[in-house]
Amino acid sequence: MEPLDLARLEFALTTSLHFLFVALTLGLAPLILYMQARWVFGGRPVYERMTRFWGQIYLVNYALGIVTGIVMEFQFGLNWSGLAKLTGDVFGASIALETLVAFFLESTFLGLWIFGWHRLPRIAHLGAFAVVTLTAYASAFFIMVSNSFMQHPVGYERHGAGIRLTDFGALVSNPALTVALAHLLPAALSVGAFFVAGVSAHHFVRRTRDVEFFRRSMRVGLVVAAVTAPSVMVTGIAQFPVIGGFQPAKTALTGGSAEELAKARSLLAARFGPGDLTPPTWIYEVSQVMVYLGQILALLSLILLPLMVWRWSVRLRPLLHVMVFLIPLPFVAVICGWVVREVGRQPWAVYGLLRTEEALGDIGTVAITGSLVAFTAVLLLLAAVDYSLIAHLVRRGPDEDVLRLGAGTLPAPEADADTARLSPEREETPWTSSGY
Amino acid sequence: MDVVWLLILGLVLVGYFVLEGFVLGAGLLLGRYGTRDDTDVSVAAFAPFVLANEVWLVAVAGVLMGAFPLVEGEIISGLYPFVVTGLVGWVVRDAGLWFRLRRTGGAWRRLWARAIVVGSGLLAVAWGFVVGNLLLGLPGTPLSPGRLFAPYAVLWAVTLPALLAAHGTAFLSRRLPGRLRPDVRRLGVRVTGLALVLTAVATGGGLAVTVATRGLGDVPAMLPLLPLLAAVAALWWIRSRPFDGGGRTLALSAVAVSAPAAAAGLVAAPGLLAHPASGQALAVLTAYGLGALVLVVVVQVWAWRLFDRRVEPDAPSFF
Ligand code: HDD
Ligand code: HEM
Ligand code: HEM
Repeated sequence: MEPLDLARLEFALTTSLHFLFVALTLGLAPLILYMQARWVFGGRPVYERMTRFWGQIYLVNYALGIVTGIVMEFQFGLNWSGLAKLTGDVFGASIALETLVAFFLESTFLGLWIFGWHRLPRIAHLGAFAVVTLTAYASAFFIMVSNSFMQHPVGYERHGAGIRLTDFGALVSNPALTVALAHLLPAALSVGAFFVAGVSAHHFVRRTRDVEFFRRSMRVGLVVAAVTAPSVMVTGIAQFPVIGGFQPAKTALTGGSAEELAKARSLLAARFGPGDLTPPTWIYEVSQVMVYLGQILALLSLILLPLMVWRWSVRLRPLLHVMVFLIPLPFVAVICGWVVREVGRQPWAVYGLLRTEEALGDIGTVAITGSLVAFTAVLLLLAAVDYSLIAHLVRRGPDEDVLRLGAGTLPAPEADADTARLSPEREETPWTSSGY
Repeated sequence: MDVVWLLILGLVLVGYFVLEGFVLGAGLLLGRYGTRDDTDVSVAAFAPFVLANEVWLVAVAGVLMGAFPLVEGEIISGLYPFVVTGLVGWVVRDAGLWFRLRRTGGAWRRLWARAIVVGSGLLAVAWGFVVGNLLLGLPGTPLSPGRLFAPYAVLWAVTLPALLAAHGTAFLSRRLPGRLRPDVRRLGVRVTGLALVLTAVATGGGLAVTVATRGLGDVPAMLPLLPLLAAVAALWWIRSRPFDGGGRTLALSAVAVSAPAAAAGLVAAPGLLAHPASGQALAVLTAYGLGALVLVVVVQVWAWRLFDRRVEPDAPSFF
């Protein structure tokens, strides 16, 4: 393969992995914030346990969000230095803001949340998680600013060999951004909602005795799913005309109409001259997967909700099995959506401005192959380990010691810490003898 | 405005080495003192700082991309193999931290403790190469293997890990419980001595390279050597004082550990200033980014004061 294909593959694999984890981060954070707020303001112990259980899963998931994100951040410099050379003035600004406004604060406050458990006053501890949630959404916003500029460049002027920023306001009100955010935010929330509902259903299938815990969790999940899944469908459909305005070939392909495609071809030829400027046709199938999943999820979310409210679903076991089965579907849909958006932007990296091959830096096949193999091997392995840890946490449920996510909250299992240190079984005691 | 952002870049880079430096150093030395059972408390010693500290490098990349987009690509793709190795090391180190305590088995925990050591080591060596290469001048892409692995760069590839380890022991002697203190003190004295010798040699080497290429009279070219001399002095000073984990030792090792990056920054500065982002882009960055930066510093100082105590042997810790 050519360096170009390798670099694209590398970007596609690593971002897809990144997004699998951050979608759950974005989806879980507001739900956990809600649980923690109920705990702090209502004082009901079940909400403390819910915060800990879902918070623990959130954190294990977060580990891979960070690790994959780190690789993403440097990939622009490693492989795509052409992007910075020609469009860096615009593109770099929003990425820089993401790191300063979002990641910097997010990481700092997440550390406070984890290690400040029972060390910070309750309100401050809740505040730390509120900042974590807010900055997670801020980072989604800023990265989408960059990405939407690539989809539909605005707010710039040509300057020498490259471009420069003229209007930041246009950058953040880019129509490619507003329609995408309206679709992506409910999509990410639905990932978290179906996850929480499905995991709770799993525990009812296994006849958990922690009924209140999982009933409340499931209700949170189902209510959020019933709001977000239909919104995802509506905002998804609403995207087509807007995107068609600036990327006619993409919507012609996903719409599956041959006349539209012919029309788009002549439009592009008029704008950019002759040459094949249509993206690969297989984005049609990928978009169909997303659309079908979107309809199924919207429909089921509405059917499941009333059942939950009347507390039937806990007894209707087939429905519980359906809920468990739904957990992976939103994950599949988000990746399909991204593949459509990104592959459908081809052959440009920045639509109409910069071809993908021009965005590639001056790098040899050996170097790119090395980084592709190194990053994907390590990240895929770690992702597999991470999912096995999440599955482990899910299966053990909230009763286990693993839930001690705080500093010195519960008495250590051994009365005398020093004998514990010397005893050979120490390795086998749960990590909470030294962990939370 | 571009000068302001150059200074901010310098601040964030130095901040990274001062803060993440002790985490990396402590990670490198995990298992080199105490017994196997001390791993938990050793990690707990730096655990509360990891998240807040490592993100300084993400901020370095962000500031580079925002304020100096042209040079960012040149530096990062010019030093390709080291950036890839360093990132893999960083990722493996983080995985070790996050995964280690999630299961109870002894083999599981030893595996991920080893990941912390190996990951920190990879990142430290990669940083040594990066700093050494930058001290030789900004890379014009792509660099030949002969240049990437020049003897001077290799010298830094061993010197920087030693500096990080010295900084790590200065931090650990402040945080670890009393029982481990004599061990860490002994290790710290040794590592600091090693770092002193290596840094002195590297500084001498830098002087020789500069004189050979630029002649004795070129004062601006000598400027980057100043931080290196300060590092040598700081290490010397640490050696002449009791190694007790006091604030002064930590401050001195902070000077030493951030000096190479500061020197590399001085070398790179003219190249960076030659290609800043446009005034409009910098104005946007200033309007939104500066406040966030100040807020982060304030919160991190406060968090440092919250967590800067000796760890109790069996105190809970998430990492
Ligand atoms: C839970 C996940 C999910 C579900 C159920 C759907 N989508 Fe979606 N879709 C996404 C998750 C997503 C996404 C991953 O979030 C994308 C990728 C980039 C973006 O902004 O949103 C996306 C992109 C995306 C795009 C491409 C935007 C572009 O090319 O710039 C279109 C046209 C749609 N969606 C349309 C739909 C329709 C009509 C759906 C259903 C009826 C639908 N999506 C369901
Ligand atoms: C493709 C370009 C992307 C890059 C370069 C990138 C970069 C990063 C980095 C460096 C981190 C870790 C920050 C830390 O150390 O705390 C991160 C985390 C995160 N990213 Fe991305 N990201 C990209 C795409 C996205 C997208 C498309 C979204 C969402 C719409 C997103 C949302 C997040 C969120 C919410 C986090 C924090 C939560 C977590 O770490 O799990 N990112 N990203
Ligand atoms: C997290 C969700 C994302 C996913 C799953 C994703 C997926 C992809 C895929 C599949 C490609 C390969 C396209 C092809 O070569 O045919 C690609 C390319 C690329 N994407 Fe994304 N992307 C995501 C977010 C982003 C964001 C937020 C940015 C920018 C800020 C971005 C920037 C790029 C760049 C620079 C390339 C390489 C050049 C190109 O192929 O045009 N991506 N991405």
